[in-house]
Amino acid sequence: MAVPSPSPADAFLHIDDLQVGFDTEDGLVQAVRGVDLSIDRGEVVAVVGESGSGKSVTFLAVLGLHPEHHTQLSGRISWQGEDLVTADEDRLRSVRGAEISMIFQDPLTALNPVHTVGKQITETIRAHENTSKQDAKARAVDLLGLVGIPQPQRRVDMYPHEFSGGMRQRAMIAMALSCEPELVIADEPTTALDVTVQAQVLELLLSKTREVGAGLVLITHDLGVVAGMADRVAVMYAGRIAERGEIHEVFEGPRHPYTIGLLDSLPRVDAEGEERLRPIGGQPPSMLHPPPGCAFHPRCRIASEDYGCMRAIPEVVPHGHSAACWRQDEVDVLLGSRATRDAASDADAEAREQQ
Amino acid sequence: MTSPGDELRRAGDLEGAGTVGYGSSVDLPHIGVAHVDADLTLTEVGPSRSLMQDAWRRFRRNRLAMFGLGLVVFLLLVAIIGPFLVDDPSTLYPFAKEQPTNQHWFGTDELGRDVLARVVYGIRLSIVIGFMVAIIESIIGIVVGSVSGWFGGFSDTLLMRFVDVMLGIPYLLLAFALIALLGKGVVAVIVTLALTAWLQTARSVRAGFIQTKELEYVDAARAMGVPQRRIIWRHILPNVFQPIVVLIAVGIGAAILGEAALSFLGVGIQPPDPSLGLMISESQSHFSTAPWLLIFPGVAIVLTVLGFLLIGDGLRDAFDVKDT
Repeated sequence: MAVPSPSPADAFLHIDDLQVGFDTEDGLVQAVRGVDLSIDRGEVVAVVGESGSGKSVTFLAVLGLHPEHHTQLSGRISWQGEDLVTADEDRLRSVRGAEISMIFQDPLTALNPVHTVGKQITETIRAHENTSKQDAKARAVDLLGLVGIPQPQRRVDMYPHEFSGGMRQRAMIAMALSCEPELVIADEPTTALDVTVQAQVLELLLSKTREVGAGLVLITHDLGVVAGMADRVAVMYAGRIAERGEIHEVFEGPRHPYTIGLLDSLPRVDAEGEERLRPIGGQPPSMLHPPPGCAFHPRCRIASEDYGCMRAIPEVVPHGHSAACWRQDEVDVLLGSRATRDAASDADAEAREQQ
Repeated sequence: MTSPGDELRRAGDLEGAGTVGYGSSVDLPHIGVAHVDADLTLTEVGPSRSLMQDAWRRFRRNRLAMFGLGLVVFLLLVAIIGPFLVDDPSTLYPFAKEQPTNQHWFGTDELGRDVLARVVYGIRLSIVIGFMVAIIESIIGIVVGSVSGWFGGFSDTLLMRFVDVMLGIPYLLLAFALIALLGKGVVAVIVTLALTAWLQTARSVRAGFIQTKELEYVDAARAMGVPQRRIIWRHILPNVFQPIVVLIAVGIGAAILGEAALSFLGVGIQPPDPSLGLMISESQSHFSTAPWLLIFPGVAIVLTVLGFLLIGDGLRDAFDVKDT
């Protein structure tokens, strides 16, 4: 099960102690506070968290997309051995779209209404490759066909408003894949879509990134979305990684109270009659003045001064299943996650059958 | 000509033109590339229409705007062809202040010059000045507004405070000072009008940049590695272009009015050059005896300015998608 972990130097994408802060009139907003994350070639990693947990900020920083003059950036983002934090704008530009590309949440606003869809795809191609307009357009047609858009020869000359929501996001996927990137970052790619097309678009995204051999980072606030798709998951809270591990490990044996809270607040079809959703109480902390120690402690039911929850936070190891919680070993017993409860009720049922 | 697709598009106008809803995809099986999903079904659609085509269609439906366009086209023809058809505006005829006749349709002025010829040449000069001023002021305004809006920060503060200060100085005072500096004449008028008119353009362009650069498609273009230069040209300027075009049309009208005002005050076009404002100024004292000296150039100014203002208004409405 344990994949031999590559050393940071030759990792595909290795984020090391990344900190991102934004200067505002009220002070420094510490959006990301020391994130370590490695992504291997061709891997599908889900990054899960509430709004403001720093998940999008982390990956916008990977592409160097934060406005320079009020962003404070430190740490290391090693992309195939090269540091992107210190890379200049020219180098970043050649990475964006060609090596790492990004898909945004709302395809309606991510496509420019005044240009045809085809023009926007060829623009990406021609930003990185020295191809003629005709060749680029032919490729745009192929790409639209690849993502399942019918009559791509005609669709290529249409404007975004003539596409439905699902088709727009397909076009965005086509654009993101146009230069055969090695990593695709999808920032809440289905949140703005109709529920009926969410699954289709997600599946398309997954299969097409696999086809071109690219890795995929799936940023989402919805654990349900990533359940069957990702290899690994990183749960973020208040600018830090709260828990990480292989997807089944985290789902079946969550070790951080926050992850348990997220899982418990998921509606489930197979839930037994009276089971209610259990939302996480309280509000996410202000990133202007994040709470000391574990940022989750004001909302945590098992936080205690005895364990140092208000003072410090344990390290998360970069590989394997790990959580930033002092009481992770007792979490199951104390909180009774749904997984544990499921196991318990299964045992009950078995016991009853045996009687 | 009208196909069912046309009707559909007209009904849907912007949202969902040429698409169908995705209501029926509930029992769709797992998606494959060859599989056509419900939301992908392509209804029969006509040729695609760009925002510009849409705007032109709305403009055409606007009667006042079309009247303005007609007026401007007519005046442009007058300005281009007119000078070949009328007399030399400086020829002195023996009868001064002659009423409109078959020979002099608009009469003659106090020196015996043909008023029609002077009005035609005056319109030509007005239009030339209007366009020159609009071109120069939009170049300055676009450059300053773009720099200010795109880079923000210190350069923005510096440029915008400068604009504020300029706007604080009374317009005529500034105009007189500039003309005192540059000397009188056509060039001085153009420079003066342009230097006082770019402020509003710069502010609009800056506002447009700030609004547009926050949009997700600009981020998306950056995330795809599109160079900054192309982002500004292809993604931001086209969106700022609409208010600019409106400002240009209105600006031409304002510049023509400005030229007339400066000439009327004696600091604009100098005699014997034919200028509408100058003609009004010179004919003031003859109004009771020869009103046509005032009426014809006055009407010419009003029509010219009106034409451009109507076009400006029509463009504003045509671009404003929310309104239709």
